[in-house]
Amino acid sequence: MSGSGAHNTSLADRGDIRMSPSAARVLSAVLLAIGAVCVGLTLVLGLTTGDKTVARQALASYHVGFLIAIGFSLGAMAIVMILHQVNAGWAGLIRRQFENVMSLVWPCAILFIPVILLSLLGDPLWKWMDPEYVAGDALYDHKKPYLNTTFFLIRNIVYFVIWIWLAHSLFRYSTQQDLTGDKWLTAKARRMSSYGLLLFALTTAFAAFDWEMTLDFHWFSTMYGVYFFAANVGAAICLVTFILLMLRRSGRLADLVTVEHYHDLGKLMFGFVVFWAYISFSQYFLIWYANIPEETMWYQRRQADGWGTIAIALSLGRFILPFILLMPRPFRRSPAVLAFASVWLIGFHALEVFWIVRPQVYDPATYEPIMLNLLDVAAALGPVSLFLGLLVRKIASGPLVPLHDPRMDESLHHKNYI
Amino acid sequence: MSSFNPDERTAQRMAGGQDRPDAERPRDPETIDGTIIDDPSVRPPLVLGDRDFHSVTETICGWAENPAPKWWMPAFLISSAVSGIGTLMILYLIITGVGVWGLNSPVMWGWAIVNFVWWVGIGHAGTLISAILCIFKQKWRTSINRFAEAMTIFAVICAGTFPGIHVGRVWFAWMLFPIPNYNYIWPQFRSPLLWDVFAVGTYFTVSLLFWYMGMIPDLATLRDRALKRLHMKAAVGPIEIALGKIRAFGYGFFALGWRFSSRGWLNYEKAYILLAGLATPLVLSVHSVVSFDFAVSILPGWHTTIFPPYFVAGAIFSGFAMVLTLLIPARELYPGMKDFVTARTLENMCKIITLTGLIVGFAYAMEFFIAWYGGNVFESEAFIIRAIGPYWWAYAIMFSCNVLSPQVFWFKWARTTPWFIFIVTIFVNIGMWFERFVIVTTLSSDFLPGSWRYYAPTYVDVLTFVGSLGIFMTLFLLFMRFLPMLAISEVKNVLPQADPHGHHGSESGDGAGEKNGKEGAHG
Repeated sequence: MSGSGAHNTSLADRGDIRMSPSAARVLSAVLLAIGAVCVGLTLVLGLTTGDKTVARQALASYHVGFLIAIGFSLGAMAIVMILHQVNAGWAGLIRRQFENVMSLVWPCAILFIPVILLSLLGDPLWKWMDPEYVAGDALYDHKKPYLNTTFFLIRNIVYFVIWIWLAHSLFRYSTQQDLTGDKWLTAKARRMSSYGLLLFALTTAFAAFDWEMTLDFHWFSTMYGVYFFAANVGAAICLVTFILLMLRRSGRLADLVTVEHYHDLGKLMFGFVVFWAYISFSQYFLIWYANIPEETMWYQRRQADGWGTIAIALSLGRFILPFILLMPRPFRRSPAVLAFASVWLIGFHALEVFWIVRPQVYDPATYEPIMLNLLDVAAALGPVSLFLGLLVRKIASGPLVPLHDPRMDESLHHKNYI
Repeated sequence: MSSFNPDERTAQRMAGGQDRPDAERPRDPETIDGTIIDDPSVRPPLVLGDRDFHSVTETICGWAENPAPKWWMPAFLISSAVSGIGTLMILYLIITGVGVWGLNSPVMWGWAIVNFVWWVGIGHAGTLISAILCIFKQKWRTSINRFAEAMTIFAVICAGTFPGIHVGRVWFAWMLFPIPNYNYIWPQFRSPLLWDVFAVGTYFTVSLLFWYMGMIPDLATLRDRALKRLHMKAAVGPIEIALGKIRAFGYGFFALGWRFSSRGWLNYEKAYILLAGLATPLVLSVHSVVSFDFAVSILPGWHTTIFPPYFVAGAIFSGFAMVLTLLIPARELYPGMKDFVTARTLENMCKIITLTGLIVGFAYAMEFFIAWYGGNVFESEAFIIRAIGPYWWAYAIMFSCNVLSPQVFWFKWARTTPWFIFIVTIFVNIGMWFERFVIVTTLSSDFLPGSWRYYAPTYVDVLTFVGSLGIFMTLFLLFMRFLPMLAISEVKNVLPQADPHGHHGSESGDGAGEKNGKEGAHG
């Protein structure tokens, strides 16, 4: 630790590396209250009207909220493991925020329980769980070894066990290092990230199948896991950039996380905007070109009526506009532009998850789509707001940066020459 | 360097002195050559052997200036003889027709497309190393980027020959380009084969520009040194003087009047990062378009949405393997190269091979799962026939070489032992060739079982492929002989001496930098 000792001691003594507890208490209380109210509203509006379609709509949008929340967490987990794997030096100062977001994978497991319970007990969100609906469906009969409730539950338990274990261990290595200063914890985290990424890739791909793709169980796409990954990593980068910018606004980390780090976060944001566009375009394009009904039906529903407008809005708002906005170097180095871009992109990410999940809810009599309304907003905001409320508490619970990262020097002196 | 007054050491070396031998480093089981360091607080050195700027220039230029190593001429003769065989086979094909190949219904695409995709894939490593790793600020890439880019360009040249000759009537190949002609026949813009022409053409152009532009300062160094040698050896004889003049003129011509001025370097760095930015999407787009050749069709086993990223990962996988296949022998054969291409460099490349191999394995798994899950009988049958049908052996080779063999790199010994890495990279090269073979031979069992036919290549197929290896090696040997194999100026940039602030030095200087950064943000 010889070379970096001086910096690290001073880092721990600084006053601006912790979030103000009072502000955190207020903010998290507000967010948790909004979340609770929204979940309550969803329950009241969704379950008490007695209209099966409205209940389904509420459940689907709650599921959207859950997917947005866990998307942040999984995206951050991928980033943390990648940063460890590539021995990143520049990211020492920003890694803790990714770790905070990652560590909230367990509340997401709890947020998911209502979706599963309501699907098992009432009208299922997954049509294939409904024995009446799938009766005589040859495709379902073929897929039954995979699409049955028992295996579905086992798979979900396996995913969450693996993720909670990875998130917990990686978070613990990092926070233990704050206390002990043991540099070998970094090596341990690196080792875990190697097989961790392998487990992560397989579990998230199948989780994407289970949570999104099998909502329309006739449809399939080999790309779907990558699509899920691309969207969520991008969203996690936006969330962490926004957190850091808000901390900077409140006078935290001001001369630690400099414009140089924001510049690199901006590059990553830009990179994932393009990567998302590449993946989602490739998926769409191959299906469009081959024009096989069993594949096009998924897009057919999402291109028609109001969903078609959203599809166009997504290509503009989630790719073309941010692509242009984040292209000039001064913009990637501007906190204001980055704050705007991160909120904008998270908004469009949320809209995309709606666009993926919600078209599965339609008027059963006429097959007409049911467009988004306030119920959807409340239902999705519930889990997201609860997640953010817990996240604020998590952020306030410890130092905002790792205190004894062995490569902290590199991060403190990080610079982009070009 | 731009000065014409050789210092004493240079003069001695130029007077026939040998470059210093490889630093005698005992192989340490833990750190190998001192660069495999687990300690996260230590950054391993990028260049070994206590080198200064001068010795970097001396060593790298020496490879191009000293008499060719003994193995070079035989290797060159063999390679060019092999490439001659390939050229004869192409001539035979053009004169006789594509019937000399093993193609027949239902396998209308055979080795030509396999070879094309294999070579284009190999051609991905260079741009990935120079562009993407440059954007990610991976300094270890500086010692291999020139080498890998050269390999990229030669691989794309080999790739480009196959679509050109597989059209059958080669004299109509120009119709691939949107050139107006008297019949008003335009290319079919909805065909991915046409997109290939543009994708590969753009990739080749940008890669070539990137490679060449990065080489300009080093060519200028070689030019200056060639002139110096001319001055020093003025009395040797008329032939050598003539050769020296040609040499100086050649390097000088391509150095475009580079004078090592700071204005030049400023433009150079701007151009480099711009080309890196332009080349980065190309790394993804080229093989995505190549994958479209297959994936836009509605053939079982070909039409699947994961193809674009899966092909890109496979391309990087095979490209890195080919770089290592060439780099490991070169590292042994050229004195001093181990100082630049350290064990750490090889280890990093092995890790990328394992990563991309796993991505490829992930794609195989997804394909198999969805082939079953999709419920399309033709799709799942296509995959079953791949795995246990008449080409089961090709599938087995593909799977074991691509997914299993790189798993050895989870063990430190395997990824730090050059001869072992070399063997694994050969496996990877073979595996990736067979991956394309497996995809193409899916055609042999098409929708009508009555027309199923086992596809086998003819000797012309085989020798054309071997010939393309010869063309590749010939070009590569010429590159090793005459051009700076490592990026001299970039390697100098990562030497500790190049950083005036030092790693742990002057905090004040860095603090000022941070302040500037903040001002920039507010302003």
